[in-house]
Amino acid sequence: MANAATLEMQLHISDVSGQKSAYVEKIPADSTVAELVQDLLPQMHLSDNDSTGRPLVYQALLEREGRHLHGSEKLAEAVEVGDHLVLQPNIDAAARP
Amino acid sequence: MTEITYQYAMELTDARGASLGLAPLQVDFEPAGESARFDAIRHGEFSPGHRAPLAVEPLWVEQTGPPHLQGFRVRVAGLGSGEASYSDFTTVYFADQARQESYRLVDQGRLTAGERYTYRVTAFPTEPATTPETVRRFQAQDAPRDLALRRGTLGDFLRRAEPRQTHTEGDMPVFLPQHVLDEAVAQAQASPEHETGGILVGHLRQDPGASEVFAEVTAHIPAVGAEAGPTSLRFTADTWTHVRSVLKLRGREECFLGWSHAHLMEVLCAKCPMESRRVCPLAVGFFSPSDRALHRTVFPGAHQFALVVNLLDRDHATYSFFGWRKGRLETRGFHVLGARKEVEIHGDPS
Repeated sequence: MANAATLEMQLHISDVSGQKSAYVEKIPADSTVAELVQDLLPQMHLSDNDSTGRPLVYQALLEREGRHLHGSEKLAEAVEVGDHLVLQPNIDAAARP
Repeated sequence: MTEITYQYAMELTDARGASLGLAPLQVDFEPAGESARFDAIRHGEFSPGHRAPLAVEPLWVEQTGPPHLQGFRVRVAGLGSGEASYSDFTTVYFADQARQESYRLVDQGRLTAGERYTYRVTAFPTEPATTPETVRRFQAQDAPRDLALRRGTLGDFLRRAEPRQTHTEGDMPVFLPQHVLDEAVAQAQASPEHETGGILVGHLRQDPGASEVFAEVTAHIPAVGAEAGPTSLRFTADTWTHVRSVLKLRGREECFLGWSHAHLMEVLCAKCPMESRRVCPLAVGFFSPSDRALHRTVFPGAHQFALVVNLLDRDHATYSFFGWRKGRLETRGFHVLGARKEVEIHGDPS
């Protein structure tokens, strides 16, 4: 039985190319998309810095709607049970030796 | 999750054999784990969705024993009481970290730029961590990852293809159609002042008779939404979303196999003549630190690869191809389906 402050949501989270995949079953009712992304990056062993040490910016794509969720959106309002989120970084290829 | 019970350290030695000290190593064993797991799948030891735990153990130098390593072993547990598989790695795995350490020593004046050095790796048993785990608002559980292997006969593909670049035994075969290479070059030629790129999609195929898995690229999807400069290309969240939309529209159950981008030699080697550009290290097997970091972040699968189009000038281009080998990104060969005779493009292909 879910705590009143926790929602039962089997969210499927994956990286861009589908090589890393995880389920999140419970989310705090007041949690945001940004909090989810920041919490999952280390758990899914996703890089959080680029080659120069600068933080990578990830956006969460909600597959069902085909849109990127805003970091400030409340998860309880944005997602539904069984939704698939894809964590997508802005990342550079640069021809500097 | 990879189980590690040792603390690793690296010692560099200068050209005279003098020790430059012992530096602790934070080792990223994940590529090695990917390599071991994928090799086991390739050779039919495990199913494509096998996600059993991995364990890393040092392999000691025979003559001296601990703490000096000659390499390490990654064990992939079997299911239930099933037999485990293992894959051995040499200390070459640590070469990139040795290079980084050498840069640091050059900055400190303890090594001269260009000076030869050697390195060796040691491992010391560690006590289990006693610090409490970070309290997290969300708990992620590993989900199975299915490689979605399709059937295929490797021999059929090899008969229809021509090899390009240097092939190394043990590399997973990769087949690219000539039109994919042409599209990548045409894209670069159409934008000679800004880097271009795209995503390579297709299928992984398994040939049980050959105990092999191979990749068939079916399309090059341009990196729409990418932010381009003369020496950089930013793949954005919109880029990835566009690719996913295209895959959905195509409806062929293709997967992300790799990526491509162009290096503009007219920008990188503006002052050099064509003969020099052809053989410049920036045009032959050059994969920058940023390129490597992007590949590590987005394409960590042992089966995933990268194509670089080296645009020597508006009419001439060569290719470099990279993939994972024993957990490291290396230049590698590929096969071209429907190949033209010449690799270099002369003039406008359209």
